[in-house]
Amino acid sequence: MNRNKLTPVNIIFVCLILFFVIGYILFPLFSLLKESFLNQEKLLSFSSYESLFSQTALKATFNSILLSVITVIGSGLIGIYFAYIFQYHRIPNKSFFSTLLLIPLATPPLIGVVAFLFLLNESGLVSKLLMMLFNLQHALFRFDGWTAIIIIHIYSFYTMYFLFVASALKKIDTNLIDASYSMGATKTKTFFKIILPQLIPAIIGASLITFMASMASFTAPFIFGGSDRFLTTEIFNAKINGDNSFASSLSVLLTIISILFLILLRWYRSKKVLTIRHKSTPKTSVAQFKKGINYFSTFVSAMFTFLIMLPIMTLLFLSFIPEGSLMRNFFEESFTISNYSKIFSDSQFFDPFKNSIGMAIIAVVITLIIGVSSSFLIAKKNIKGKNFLESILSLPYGIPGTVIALSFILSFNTPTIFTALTSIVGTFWILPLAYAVRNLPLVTQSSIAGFHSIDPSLEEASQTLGASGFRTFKKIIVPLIFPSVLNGALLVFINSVGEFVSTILLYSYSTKTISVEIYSQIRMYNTGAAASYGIILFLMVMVIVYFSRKTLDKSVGVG
Amino acid sequence: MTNLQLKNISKEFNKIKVLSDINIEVKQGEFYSIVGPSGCGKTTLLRIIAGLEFADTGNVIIKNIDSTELSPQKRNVGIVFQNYALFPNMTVFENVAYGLEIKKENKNFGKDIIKEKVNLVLEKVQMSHKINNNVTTLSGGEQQRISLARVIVTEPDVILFDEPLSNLDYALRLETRNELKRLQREVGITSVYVTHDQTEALALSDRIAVLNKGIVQQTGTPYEVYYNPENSFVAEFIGHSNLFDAALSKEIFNVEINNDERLSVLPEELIPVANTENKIAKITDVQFTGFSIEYSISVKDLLVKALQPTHSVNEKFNVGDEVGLKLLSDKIRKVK
Repeated sequence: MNRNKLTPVNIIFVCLILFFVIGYILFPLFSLLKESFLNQEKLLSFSSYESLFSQTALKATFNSILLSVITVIGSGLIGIYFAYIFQYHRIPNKSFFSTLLLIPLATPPLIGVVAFLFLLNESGLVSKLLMMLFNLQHALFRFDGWTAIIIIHIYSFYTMYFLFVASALKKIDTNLIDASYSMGATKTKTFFKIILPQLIPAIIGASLITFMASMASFTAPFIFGGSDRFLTTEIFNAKINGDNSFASSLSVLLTIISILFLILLRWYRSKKVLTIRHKSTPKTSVAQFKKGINYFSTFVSAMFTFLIMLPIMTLLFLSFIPEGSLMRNFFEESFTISNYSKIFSDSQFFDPFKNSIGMAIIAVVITLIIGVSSSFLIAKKNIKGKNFLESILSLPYGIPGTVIALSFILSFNTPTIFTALTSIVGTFWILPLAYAVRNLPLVTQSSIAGFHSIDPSLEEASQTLGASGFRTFKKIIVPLIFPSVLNGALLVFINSVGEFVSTILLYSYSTKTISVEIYSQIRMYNTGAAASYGIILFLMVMVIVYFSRKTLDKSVGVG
Repeated sequence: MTNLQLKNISKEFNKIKVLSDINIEVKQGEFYSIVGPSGCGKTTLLRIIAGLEFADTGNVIIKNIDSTELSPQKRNVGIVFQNYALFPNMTVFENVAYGLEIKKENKNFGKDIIKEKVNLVLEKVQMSHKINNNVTTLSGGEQQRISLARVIVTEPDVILFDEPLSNLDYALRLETRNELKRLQREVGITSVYVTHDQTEALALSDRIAVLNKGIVQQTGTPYEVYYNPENSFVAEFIGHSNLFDAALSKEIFNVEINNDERLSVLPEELIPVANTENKIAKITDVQFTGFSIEYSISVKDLLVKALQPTHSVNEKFNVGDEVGLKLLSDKIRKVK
């Protein structure tokens, strides 16, 4: 394939990519920036930036940062601990446990929040159970504010550390550990001197991502925050109160923090980590741990897995008992499937379902067209400014959903050439476009990695066997990148179908999605509909994860 | 009859000359090796023959057709890659049939002929039993055979080998080397083989070109290159020869050579001796390999090697012994 020559088809895609990048990434960010420098009279002013130094804004910034730090520490300790015992201790059914432990990773944030709400709320399952057992009139505890947000954050983010550290542990040469033991080092000394230093890159990577995600987190602070202010919820409130310029300056602040972390992450990943590689290292389990420790680890893992499963089990339970029973003694209610049948028969409930699926599919199609074609150009062609293009395409990864939603509202409330000369605020189309922008980095990153992982000698072999450029593309390149592209596309679908953060700012009555409907149902204390929606969404995600893992397992890896 | 001709090939990367004025002729059915240390430009030369790179100057002539400007698809040249480059998304059969299916469109032969040809070539490389396996399940040696079969089946004018044995372990390398030689003799396709392993080149080739820093140092049969090196690089690289300057060769062996020349002595032609007045050298290391004994010997500031077949040894030395040196044959080899 000629790297320097662009075919007419390539040029069409270049135009399409530029249109998308300028229209839906750069222009909205520009609009946001512009808005932040305007006052109520639409005149140039720094007043909104002065407001950043007000008591409330400072408090919100401080709270967001504090929350992120606590989340990083809490998730880090738990994730690293479980990765460690799963690697070195003898725990029965390890792979079963570790699959269950990864469930929060695939749970849409809103579902997690709702599940915790139903489990631990004043009128939640645990509270009711305690009241019944001890015959109390009032709930023993309140589940809200910082405690609630931190628990939900740790529930969602410890998986990052669990995954990153587990894969780093698998790569550690077990001979190093054996060598350390044979030189007389204790297990503790070996952990801190040999194992931990090799985990540092994984821990830093997971921490940067967790910090970014935690700063951008909206759902948990929104539902449990109460009077505590955070940057994301402040942006939402400012927008709802009509103070667009303050919302914009807050967004600029939050985005700058996130992008700094994104740059840090990219810089960190670009550094080559120094390791000594050998052809083959034995993967046998090293020095045996005492039986007691193994039993203890098994017990802890089982308990923790139970806790991780509990919120989803709660949802499942509530989805099968009649609506409105949250106020009554719901342990005595009989099971029913009416909540589910309602979703599929009542258009009030079915329309959001249709909307979410439709929007997710459109988002997948858009991200596939833009993501795959741009990664092809970046990985396989020598085009000017491709590093810049790659940076711009990964930019949305660092922009919180709230900010993307706000920037879309500010950009597209007037007709633009990017929106067929109409205003798309309040219409159906603004939602899938926002989902596509938010998730574009998933597809571009996985396809660029896919293209790069193809050994160039495969293309050369095909050429020397007489195959044309097109044939090589069709027969060799497409089948080989298919798994990574599919994986990216499925992730986009999963993220879009339950998206709440930007949806809550962008939806209108006729474009309600599942997430918005769940939110309005819990505000009316309708547990049944919310829970059954949650379960359907959860199952959909699980089925997709299951099949994508299957196709990925079957997919080819060069031997 | 000449099958492949390289005329005045030169190539630069970022203003660094990697090939200068290469002239090589390969005859029909010949096994020709290009041997040299890593970074000598041998792989670049191979890629120029295949059309995967283009030379800055010079011509590539394949079967009397000037192919200098032809794309790889238009040349009938096959490559066996160092990492085999089997298509991981295809089975053994599909990999081998890949090139034939492309030819089918031009030559118009049917599915059953493809099947027959694939079966035949898999039999040749003794891989018929794995015809429906996914290539990712094959061992390195098996992948190597399939990679070769995939090329042979298209009946190319030239097969290019890019260090095809370097990813195999020692025992398998020897076995595959023999296998490769047998197949090449059987099929009779002109082969150009690139390697940094001079033993491999000597064992396999009809003729050899020794390449260093992008310049052909010498061409000839393995025997010629080994016993008549044209310069000190070839002497050292191919034969691991010991080189003595004029003063030393006068002092040790009483051999007179010009001041700008050096005396080249193969390790097996250098004999340490005990009963001599001129005990100028000292044994610094002794390695017994079974078949032979290898002595490291220091003479003045020079470290030389002497290799003696175990059965012909009548004097055995230990580390620290002081010895004299003599030449096995009267043949004096001088290099510049």
